[in-house]
Amino acid sequence: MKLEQSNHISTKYKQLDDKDLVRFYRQNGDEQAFSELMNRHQTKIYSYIYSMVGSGEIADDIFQETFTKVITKMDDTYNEQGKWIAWVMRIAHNATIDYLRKQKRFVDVSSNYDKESNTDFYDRLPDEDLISAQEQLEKDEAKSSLMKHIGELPEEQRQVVMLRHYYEMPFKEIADLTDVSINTALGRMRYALINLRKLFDKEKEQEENNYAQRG
Amino acid sequence: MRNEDNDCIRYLMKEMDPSEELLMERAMMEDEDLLIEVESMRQTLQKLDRLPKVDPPKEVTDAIMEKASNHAAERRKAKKSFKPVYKYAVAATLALTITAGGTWLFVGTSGSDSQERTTVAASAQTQSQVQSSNASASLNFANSNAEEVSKSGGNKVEPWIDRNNIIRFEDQFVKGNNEFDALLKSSTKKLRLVNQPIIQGQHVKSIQLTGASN
Repeated sequence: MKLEQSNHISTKYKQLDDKDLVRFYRQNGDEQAFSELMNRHQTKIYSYIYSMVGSGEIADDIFQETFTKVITKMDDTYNEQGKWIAWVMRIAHNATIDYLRKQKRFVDVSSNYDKESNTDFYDRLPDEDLISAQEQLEKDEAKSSLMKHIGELPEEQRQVVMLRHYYEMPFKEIADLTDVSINTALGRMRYALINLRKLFDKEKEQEENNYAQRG
Repeated sequence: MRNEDNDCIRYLMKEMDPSEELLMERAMMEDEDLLIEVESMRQTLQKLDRLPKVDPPKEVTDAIMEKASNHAAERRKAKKSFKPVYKYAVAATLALTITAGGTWLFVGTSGSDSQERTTVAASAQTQSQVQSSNASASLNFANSNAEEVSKSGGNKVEPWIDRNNIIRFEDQFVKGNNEFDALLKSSTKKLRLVNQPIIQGQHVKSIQLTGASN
Protein backbone atom coordinates (compact mmCIF):
# COMPACT_ATOMS: atom_id res chain seq x y z
CA MET A 1 0.00 0.00 0.00
CA LYS A 2 2.85 2.30 0.83
CA LEU A 3 4.42 1.48 -2.54
CA GLU A 4 1.17 2.14 -4.37
CA GLN A 5 0.98 5.54 -2.76
CA SER A 6 4.56 6.39 -3.37
CA ASN A 7 4.21 5.64 -7.10
CA HIS A 8 1.92 8.62 -7.40
CA ILE A 9 4.31 10.94 -5.65
CA SER A 10 6.98 12.44 -7.81
CA THR A 11 10.62 12.26 -6.77
CA LYS A 12 10.56 16.02 -6.27
CA TYR A 13 8.42 15.58 -3.19
CA LYS A 14 10.54 12.73 -1.87
CA GLN A 15 13.57 15.00 -1.80
CA LEU A 16 11.83 17.73 0.17
CA ASP A 17 11.99 17.83 3.94
CA ASP A 18 8.91 17.81 6.17
CA LYS A 19 8.99 21.58 6.66
CA ASP A 20 8.75 22.28 2.91
CA LEU A 21 6.04 19.66 2.41
CA VAL A 22 3.99 21.18 5.21
CA ARG A 23 4.45 24.65 3.68
CA PHE A 24 3.34 23.37 0.25
CA TYR A 25 0.19 21.87 1.71
CA ARG A 26 -0.63 24.85 3.89
CA GLN A 27 -0.02 27.51 1.28
CA ASN A 28 -1.07 25.83 -1.94
CA GLY A 29 -3.26 22.99 -0.72
CA ASP A 30 -0.79 20.62 -2.37
CA GLU A 31 -2.26 17.16 -1.83
CA GLN A 32 0.84 15.36 -3.07
CA ALA A 33 2.88 17.09 -0.39
CA PHE A 34 0.47 15.84 2.26
CA SER A 35 0.50 12.37 0.73
CA GLU A 36 4.28 12.29 0.97
CA LEU A 37 4.13 13.37 4.61
CA MET A 38 1.64 10.59 5.34
CA ASN A 39 3.76 8.09 3.47
CA ARG A 40 6.81 8.99 5.50
CA HIS A 41 5.31 8.83 8.97
CA GLN A 42 2.15 6.73 8.89
CA THR A 43 3.83 3.44 9.85
CA LYS A 44 5.55 4.88 12.92
CA ILE A 45 2.45 6.69 14.10
CA TYR A 46 0.14 3.75 13.47
CA SER A 47 2.56 1.27 15.08
CA TYR A 48 2.82 3.44 18.17
CA ILE A 49 -0.95 3.72 18.51
CA TYR A 50 -1.42 0.03 17.76
CA SER A 51 1.21 -1.03 20.29
CA MET A 52 -0.39 1.15 22.95
CA VAL A 53 -4.04 0.13 22.45
CA GLY A 54 -3.55 -3.35 21.07
CA SER A 55 -6.59 -3.36 18.82
CA GLY A 56 -6.68 -2.78 15.08
CA GLU A 57 -10.11 -1.23 15.03
CA ILE A 58 -9.35 1.18 17.87
CA ALA A 59 -5.96 2.00 16.36
CA ASP A 60 -7.73 2.79 13.05
CA ASP A 61 -10.10 5.17 14.84
CA ILE A 62 -7.36 6.93 16.79
CA PHE A 63 -5.15 7.15 13.71
CA GLN A 64 -7.99 8.67 11.69
CA GLU A 65 -8.88 11.05 14.54
CA THR A 66 -5.25 12.11 14.75
CA PHE A 67 -4.99 12.96 11.07
CA THR A 68 -8.38 14.66 10.99
CA LYS A 69 -7.05 16.99 13.71
CA VAL A 70 -3.79 17.40 11.82
CA ILE A 71 -5.65 18.45 8.65
CA THR A 72 -8.03 20.86 10.35
CA LYS A 73 -5.60 22.34 12.88
CA MET A 74 -2.51 22.61 10.72
CA ASP A 75 -3.54 26.10 9.59
CA ASP A 76 -4.06 27.49 13.08
CA THR A 77 -2.24 25.47 15.70
CA TYR A 78 0.93 24.20 14.05
CA ASN A 79 3.90 26.50 14.44
CA GLU A 80 6.36 26.04 11.57
CA GLN A 81 9.29 26.60 13.91
CA GLY A 82 8.74 23.20 15.51
CA LYS A 83 9.08 19.75 13.96
CA TRP A 84 5.88 18.72 12.20
CA ILE A 85 6.23 15.08 13.22
CA ALA A 86 6.68 16.04 16.89
CA TRP A 87 3.45 18.05 16.66
CA VAL A 88 1.60 15.16 14.98
CA MET A 89 3.05 12.75 17.49
CA ARG A 90 1.76 14.89 20.35
CA ILE A 91 -1.75 14.72 18.86
CA ALA A 92 -1.48 10.94 18.37
CA HIS A 93 -0.08 10.47 21.87
CA ASN A 94 -2.80 12.61 23.48
CA ALA A 95 -5.54 10.78 21.56
CA THR A 96 -4.07 7.43 22.63
CA ILE A 97 -3.74 8.46 26.28
CA ASP A 98 -7.29 9.85 26.22
CA TYR A 99 -8.53 6.50 24.99
CA LEU A 100 -6.53 4.56 27.58
CA ARG A 101 -7.74 6.82 30.38
CA LYS A 102 -11.30 6.28 29.25
CA GLN A 103 -10.74 2.57 29.31
CA LYS A 104 -9.00 2.83 32.71
CA ARG A 105 -7.10 -0.30 32.11
CA PHE A 106 -3.89 -1.44 30.53
CA VAL A 107 -4.14 -3.38 27.34
CA ASP A 108 -2.21 -6.55 26.94
CA VAL A 109 -1.23 -6.17 23.30
CA SER A 110 0.31 -9.60 22.99
CA SER A 111 -2.82 -11.46 23.90
CA ASN A 112 -5.12 -9.09 22.10
CA TYR A 113 -7.40 -10.59 19.56
CA ASP A 114 -9.62 -8.52 17.28
CA LYS A 115 -13.08 -10.03 17.70
CA GLU A 116 -14.44 -7.97 14.81
CA SER A 117 -11.87 -8.94 12.24
CA ASN A 118 -10.82 -12.29 13.75
CA THR A 119 -7.20 -11.25 13.50
CA ASP A 120 -4.32 -11.09 15.88
CA PHE A 121 -1.77 -8.26 16.11
CA TYR A 122 0.72 -10.37 14.16
CA ASP A 123 -1.66 -11.10 11.30
CA ARG A 124 -1.29 -7.43 10.41
CA LEU A 125 2.47 -7.57 10.08
CA PRO A 126 3.96 -7.42 6.56
CA ASP A 127 4.74 -10.74 4.89
CA GLU A 128 8.34 -11.74 4.79
CA ASP A 129 8.44 -14.35 2.05
CA LEU A 130 12.19 -14.71 2.03
CA ILE A 131 12.51 -16.35 5.41
CA SER A 132 11.58 -19.93 6.00
CA ALA A 133 8.46 -21.03 7.85
CA GLN A 134 10.54 -22.18 10.84
CA GLU A 135 12.40 -18.88 11.03
CA GLN A 136 9.13 -17.03 10.68
CA LEU A 137 7.62 -19.05 13.52
CA GLU A 138 10.59 -18.35 15.78
CA LYS A 139 10.52 -14.71 14.88
CA ASP A 140 6.81 -14.48 15.55
CA GLU A 141 7.28 -16.21 18.90
CA ALA A 142 10.00 -13.76 19.86
CA LYS A 143 7.86 -10.82 18.81
CA SER A 144 4.90 -12.27 20.63
CA SER A 145 6.98 -12.72 23.78
CA LEU A 146 8.37 -9.18 23.48
CA MET A 147 4.93 -7.64 23.00
CA LYS A 148 3.57 -9.64 25.88
CA HIS A 149 6.28 -8.33 28.19
CA ILE A 150 5.88 -4.77 26.94
CA GLY A 151 2.17 -5.09 27.58
CA GLU A 152 3.02 -5.95 31.18
CA LEU A 153 4.96 -2.74 31.73
CA PRO A 154 3.30 0.17 33.52
CA GLU A 155 1.77 2.60 31.02
CA GLU A 156 4.28 5.40 31.72
CA GLN A 157 7.22 3.11 31.05
CA ARG A 158 5.58 1.64 27.96
CA GLN A 159 4.98 5.13 26.55
CA VAL A 160 8.64 6.06 26.87
CA VAL A 161 9.79 2.81 25.28
CA MET A 162 7.40 3.19 22.34
CA LEU A 163 8.09 6.87 21.78
CA ARG A 164 11.79 6.21 21.79
CA HIS A 165 11.55 3.15 19.59
CA TYR A 166 9.10 4.36 16.95
CA TYR A 167 10.05 8.02 16.82
CA GLU A 168 13.64 7.94 17.99
CA MET A 169 12.60 10.92 20.06
CA PRO A 170 15.24 12.61 22.18
CA PHE A 171 14.45 12.31 25.89
CA LYS A 172 13.95 16.05 26.07
CA GLU A 173 11.03 15.73 23.63
CA ILE A 174 9.66 12.66 25.39
CA ALA A 175 9.79 14.61 28.66
CA ASP A 176 7.92 17.55 27.04
CA LEU A 177 5.34 15.28 25.49
CA THR A 178 4.63 13.37 28.67
CA ASP A 179 4.85 16.46 30.91
CA VAL A 180 7.65 15.15 33.11
CA SER A 181 11.25 16.15 33.73
CA ILE A 182 14.00 14.72 31.54
CA ASN A 183 15.34 12.74 34.52
CA THR A 184 11.93 11.17 35.09
CA ALA A 185 11.72 10.20 31.41
CA LEU A 186 15.23 8.67 31.56
CA GLY A 187 14.34 6.92 34.81
CA ARG A 188 11.18 5.44 33.27
CA MET A 189 13.23 4.07 30.37
CA ARG A 190 15.75 2.61 32.80
CA TYR A 191 13.05 0.91 34.87
CA ALA A 192 11.34 -0.31 31.71
CA LEU A 193 14.56 -2.02 30.61
CA ILE A 194 15.16 -3.47 34.08
CA ASN A 195 11.57 -4.80 34.21
CA LEU A 196 11.83 -6.23 30.69
CA ARG A 197 15.08 -7.97 31.58
CA LYS A 198 13.42 -9.52 34.62
CA LEU A 199 10.46 -10.67 32.53
CA PHE A 200 12.74 -12.21 29.89
CA ASP A 201 14.79 -13.94 32.61
CA LYS A 202 11.62 -15.31 34.19
CA GLU A 203 10.41 -16.56 30.82
CA LYS A 204 13.76 -18.22 30.12
CA GLU A 205 13.70 -19.90 33.51
CA GLN A 206 10.20 -21.25 32.87
CA GLU A 207 11.22 -22.57 29.46
CA GLU A 208 14.21 -24.33 31.02
CA ASN A 209 12.00 -25.84 33.71
CA ASN A 210 9.52 -27.04 31.08
CA TYR A 211 12.37 -28.55 29.05
CA ALA A 212 13.78 -30.29 32.13
CA GLN A 213 10.36 -31.70 33.03
CA ARG A 214 9.90 -33.09 29.50
CA GLY A 215 13.42 -34.49 29.50
CA MET B 1 16.28 9.34 41.33
CA ARG B 2 19.93 10.30 41.11
CA ASN B 3 21.17 11.65 37.80
CA GLU B 4 24.03 9.11 37.84
CA ASP B 5 21.47 6.29 37.71
CA ASN B 6 20.34 7.54 34.34
CA ASP B 7 23.85 7.77 32.94
CA CYS B 8 23.62 4.19 31.61
CA ILE B 9 20.53 5.10 29.59
CA ARG B 10 22.01 8.38 28.40
CA TYR B 11 25.14 6.51 27.33
CA LEU B 12 23.23 3.74 25.55
CA MET B 13 20.84 6.17 23.88
CA LYS B 14 23.74 8.35 22.76
CA GLU B 15 22.46 11.36 24.62
CA MET B 16 25.81 12.22 26.16
CA ASP B 17 28.39 14.78 25.13
CA PRO B 18 31.64 13.26 23.77
CA SER B 19 33.43 14.31 26.96
CA GLU B 20 30.72 12.66 29.12
CA GLU B 21 30.94 9.51 27.00
CA LEU B 22 34.65 9.36 27.60
CA LEU B 23 34.16 9.70 31.35
CA MET B 24 31.47 7.01 31.28
CA GLU B 25 33.73 4.59 29.40
CA ARG B 26 36.49 5.24 31.89
CA ALA B 27 34.08 4.58 34.77
CA MET B 28 32.99 1.27 33.17
CA MET B 29 36.61 0.18 32.88
CA GLU B 30 37.08 0.83 36.56
CA ASP B 31 33.70 -0.47 37.84
CA GLU B 32 32.80 -3.96 36.66
CA ASP B 33 29.26 -3.81 38.01
CA LEU B 34 28.57 -0.68 35.98
CA LEU B 35 29.90 -2.43 32.88
CA ILE B 36 27.63 -5.44 33.50
CA GLU B 37 24.61 -3.19 34.01
CA VAL B 38 25.27 -1.26 30.79
CA GLU B 39 25.79 -4.44 28.76
CA SER B 40 22.65 -6.02 30.20
CA MET B 41 20.63 -2.98 29.25
CA ARG B 42 22.16 -2.96 25.79
CA GLN B 43 21.00 -6.55 25.25
CA THR B 44 17.46 -5.71 26.38
CA LEU B 45 17.45 -2.66 24.12
CA GLN B 46 18.50 -4.79 21.17
CA LYS B 47 15.46 -6.97 21.77
CA LEU B 48 13.28 -3.91 21.29
CA ASP B 49 14.47 -3.73 17.68
CA ARG B 50 12.13 -6.66 17.06
CA LEU B 51 9.13 -4.51 17.85
CA PRO B 52 6.81 -4.79 14.87
CA LYS B 53 6.01 -1.93 12.53
CA VAL B 54 2.47 -1.97 11.23
CA ASP B 55 0.97 -0.07 8.32
CA PRO B 56 -2.51 1.41 8.69
CA PRO B 57 -5.22 -0.20 6.50
CA LYS B 58 -5.63 1.26 3.01
CA GLU B 59 -9.23 2.36 3.59
CA VAL B 60 -8.10 4.42 6.57
CA THR B 61 -5.32 6.19 4.67
CA ASP B 62 -7.66 6.72 1.70
CA ALA B 63 -10.27 8.32 3.95
CA ILE B 64 -7.62 10.63 5.43
CA MET B 65 -6.33 11.59 1.98
CA GLU B 66 -9.88 12.37 0.90
CA LYS B 67 -10.31 14.64 3.92
CA ALA B 68 -7.00 16.31 3.14
CA SER B 69 -8.09 16.87 -0.50
CA ASN B 70 -11.44 18.31 0.55
CA HIS B 71 -9.83 20.59 3.07
CA ALA B 72 -7.27 21.77 0.50
CA ALA B 73 -10.06 22.42 -2.03
CA GLU B 74 -12.01 24.44 0.56
CA ARG B 75 -8.93 26.46 1.38
CA ARG B 76 -8.23 27.15 -2.29
CA LYS B 77 -11.82 28.24 -2.73
CA ALA B 78 -11.67 30.49 0.31
CA LYS B 79 -8.37 31.93 -0.88
CA LYS B 80 -9.82 32.74 -4.30
CA SER B 81 -12.80 34.50 -2.85
CA PHE B 82 -10.57 36.69 -0.71
CA LYS B 83 -8.24 38.09 -3.32
CA PRO B 84 -7.08 41.63 -2.46
CA VAL B 85 -9.21 43.12 -5.26
CA TYR B 86 -12.29 41.51 -3.77
CA LYS B 87 -11.30 42.69 -0.34
CA TYR B 88 -11.28 46.29 -1.56
CA ALA B 89 -14.60 45.75 -3.35
CA VAL B 90 -16.15 44.34 -0.20
CA ALA B 91 -14.74 47.22 1.86
CA ALA B 92 -16.07 49.81 -0.61
CA THR B 93 -19.51 48.18 -0.72
CA LEU B 94 -19.62 48.08 3.06
CA ALA B 95 -18.62 51.73 3.33
CA LEU B 96 -21.26 52.73 0.79
CA THR B 97 -23.93 50.68 2.49
CA ILE B 98 -23.12 52.17 5.88
CA THR B 99 -23.09 55.71 4.51
CA ALA B 100 -26.34 55.23 2.59
CA GLY B 101 -27.96 53.50 5.54
CA GLY B 102 -26.86 56.24 7.90
CA THR B 103 -28.13 58.96 5.60
CA TRP B 104 -31.44 57.21 5.08
CA LEU B 105 -31.83 56.69 8.79
CA PHE B 106 -31.01 60.34 9.49
CA VAL B 107 -33.39 61.64 6.81
CA GLY B 108 -36.08 59.19 7.87
CA THR B 109 -35.82 60.22 11.50
CA SER B 110 -35.79 63.94 10.82
CA GLY B 111 -38.63 63.53 8.26
CA SER B 112 -40.77 61.66 10.71
CA ASP B 113 -39.89 64.23 13.34
CA SER B 114 -41.03 67.10 11.16
CA GLN B 115 -44.02 65.04 10.08
CA GLU B 116 -44.79 64.37 13.69
CA ARG B 117 -44.37 67.99 14.43
CA THR B 118 -46.64 68.88 11.49
CA THR B 119 -49.23 66.38 12.70
CA VAL B 120 -49.11 67.75 16.20
CA ALA B 121 -49.32 71.26 14.85
CA ALA B 122 -52.16 70.28 12.55
CA SER B 123 -54.07 68.58 15.33
CA ALA B 124 -53.43 71.50 17.59
CA GLN B 125 -54.59 73.79 14.84
CA THR B 126 -57.68 71.66 14.21
CA GLN B 127 -58.42 71.58 17.90
CA SER B 128 -57.92 75.27 18.24
CA GLN B 129 -60.03 75.80 15.09
CA VAL B 130 -62.87 73.73 16.55
CA GLN B 131 -62.59 75.45 19.87
CA SER B 132 -62.28 78.77 18.25
CA SER B 133 -65.33 78.04 16.06
CA ASN B 134 -67.22 77.19 19.22
CA ALA B 135 -65.99 80.22 20.93
CA SER B 136 -65.89 82.47 17.90
CA ALA B 137 -69.41 83.70 18.31
CA SER B 138 -68.94 84.57 21.93
CA LEU B 139 -65.60 86.05 21.08
CA ASN B 140 -67.06 88.07 18.26
CA PHE B 141 -69.69 89.21 20.64
CA ALA B 142 -67.11 89.99 23.25
CA ASN B 143 -64.99 91.63 20.61
CA SER B 144 -67.80 93.89 19.55
CA ASN B 145 -68.49 94.78 23.13
CA ALA B 146 -64.85 95.13 23.82
CA GLU B 147 -64.57 97.46 20.89
CA GLU B 148 -67.20 99.56 22.54
CA VAL B 149 -65.21 99.42 25.76
CA SER B 150 -62.07 100.33 23.96
CA LYS B 151 -63.86 103.15 22.30
CA SER B 152 -65.06 104.31 25.66
CA GLY B 153 -61.89 103.42 27.53
CA GLY B 154 -59.58 104.45 24.75
CA ASN B 155 -57.98 100.90 24.68
CA LYS B 156 -58.83 98.21 22.14
CA VAL B 157 -60.31 95.15 23.86
CA GLU B 158 -58.71 91.99 22.52
CA PRO B 159 -59.82 88.84 24.38
CA TRP B 160 -57.37 85.88 24.20
CA ILE B 161 -57.50 82.22 25.04
CA ASP B 162 -54.96 80.80 27.47
CA ARG B 163 -53.53 77.28 27.34
CA ASN B 164 -56.49 75.97 29.35
CA ASN B 165 -58.85 77.33 26.68
CA ILE B 166 -60.22 80.02 28.94
CA ILE B 167 -61.20 83.34 27.42
CA ARG B 168 -59.24 86.11 29.08
CA PHE B 169 -59.99 89.80 29.22
CA GLU B 170 -57.35 90.40 31.85
CA ASP B 171 -55.35 92.91 29.92
CA GLN B 172 -58.31 95.17 29.76
CA PHE B 173 -59.69 94.30 33.16
CA VAL B 174 -59.50 97.18 35.51
CA LYS B 175 -61.01 97.00 38.92
CA GLY B 176 -64.01 99.28 39.31
CA ASN B 177 -64.63 99.55 35.53
CA ASN B 178 -68.40 99.28 35.45
CA GLU B 179 -68.64 99.21 31.71
CA PHE B 180 -66.34 96.29 31.50
CA ASP B 181 -68.23 94.45 34.21
CA ALA B 182 -71.49 95.00 32.33
CA LEU B 183 -69.89 93.76 29.13
CA LEU B 184 -68.67 90.62 30.83
CA LYS B 185 -72.03 89.98 32.41
CA SER B 186 -73.99 90.45 29.24
CA SER B 187 -71.59 88.29 27.24
CA THR B 188 -71.69 85.37 29.65
CA LYS B 189 -75.46 85.58 29.81
CA LYS B 190 -75.64 84.90 26.14
CA LEU B 191 -73.46 81.79 26.33
CA ARG B 192 -75.26 78.47 26.42
CA LEU B 193 -74.46 74.75 26.31
CA VAL B 194 -73.44 73.16 23.04
CA ASN B 195 -76.05 70.48 22.32
CA GLN B 196 -73.90 68.15 20.23
CA PRO B 197 -70.31 68.66 21.30
CA ILE B 198 -68.40 66.82 18.56
CA ILE B 199 -64.78 67.50 17.75
CA GLN B 200 -63.30 65.63 14.75
CA GLY B 201 -66.13 63.06 14.82
CA GLN B 202 -65.54 62.25 18.54
CA HIS B 203 -67.82 63.12 21.41
CA VAL B 204 -66.22 65.43 23.97
CA LYS B 205 -66.77 64.84 27.65
CA SER B 206 -66.74 68.44 28.80
CA ILE B 207 -69.15 71.38 29.11
CA GLN B 208 -68.91 73.64 26.11
CA LEU B 209 -70.51 76.99 25.84
CA THR B 210 -71.27 78.92 22.68
CA GLY B 211 -72.84 82.15 21.64
CA ALA B 212 -73.72 80.88 18.21
CA SER B 213 -76.86 78.90 17.33
CA ASN B 214 -76.38 75.13 17.31
